[in-house]
Amino acid sequence: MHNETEQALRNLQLIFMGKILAGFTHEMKNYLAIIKESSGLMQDLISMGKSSSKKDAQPLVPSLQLIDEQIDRSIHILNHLNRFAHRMDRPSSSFLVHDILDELMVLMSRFANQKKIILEKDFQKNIPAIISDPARLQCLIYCLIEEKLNRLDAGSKITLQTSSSKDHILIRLVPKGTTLNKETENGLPSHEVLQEIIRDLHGEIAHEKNEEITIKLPLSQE
Amino acid sequence: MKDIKVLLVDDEEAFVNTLAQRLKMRDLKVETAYNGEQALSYVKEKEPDVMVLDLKMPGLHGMDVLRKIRKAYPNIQVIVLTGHGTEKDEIEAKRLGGFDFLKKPADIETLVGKIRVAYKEKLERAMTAVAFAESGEFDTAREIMNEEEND
Repeated sequence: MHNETEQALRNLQLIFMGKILAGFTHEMKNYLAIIKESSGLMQDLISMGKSSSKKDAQPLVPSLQLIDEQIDRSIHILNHLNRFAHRMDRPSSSFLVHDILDELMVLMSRFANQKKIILEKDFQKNIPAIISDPARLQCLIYCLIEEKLNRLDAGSKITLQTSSSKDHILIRLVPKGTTLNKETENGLPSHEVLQEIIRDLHGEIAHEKNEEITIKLPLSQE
Repeated sequence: MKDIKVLLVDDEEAFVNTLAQRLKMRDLKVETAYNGEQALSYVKEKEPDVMVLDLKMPGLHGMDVLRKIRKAYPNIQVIVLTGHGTEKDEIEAKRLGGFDFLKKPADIETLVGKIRVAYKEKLERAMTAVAFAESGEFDTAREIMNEEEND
């Protein structure tokens, strides 16, 4: 298959996955909204009920509140997943880098937790929006974080920092902890592929000695 | 602020019915419609003060319902309550004259608060229009009562 056709098919697959994921998150939010309202109604009936039945039903309240809390957690992650899915709708758009980094941190927090690694942010305030390909940038950062998660020891920390200048934005990935010097075979793209992604974004990537990585992106690709 | 008439519009019947029950327990007069067409026929019969409107519904999309309501019934305050809340939708709903935009599931007290504020604003607008009418400024009064989408 020609390279261009293959690329077009890949893009189509991404759009397809994005649409399915966006539809799924929407449906899930609807179901959760029904469960939340039902739990809320039970709590209303208990709190506004007659005093005798109110006393009998009181032990149910903590469980109903727990249902609410878990629904709120689910909605939080679904909202991020929904926005993540919609990022595949358009290859180029204006977006805030902080939004996509926040989203990634939420979606990757489980992977980090499992490895007992802390993911934290240190964002500069008022970073301007950039015009670029948000899904591709997110994919690049995902690969870089994932690579660090695979090589850092438990108890380590990865900090995502941002800063901006007149026409650029910098994203720095700062690992702290013991980095295991091992090659990982986890399906992550090669160094060349990552360089290709950053070229597509009209940016630059620098790997520094202390395992820090800096990505420099223009505010606009024009 | 008793007797606020609310119309809930959503195709998820279980959601609408449960939410209606909770709103009634908070002294609101609530009616329900399960799609956009039903909502429009309802308002022809009885005009609610506030409409709580979903966006993604089979048939008429919530955004079209909002557009029609603002045009034909500018005194109805519309609060969008949707599980499909993108920023673009929020901007569009507000551009069309939607009073507020909430994402599902919304906290019940937040929703009730928004309904009351929407109703209060409707009352204040009516009172301002009456004051203008009483002072002979009928065109201004009419403008206030017939606010349409801000294109």
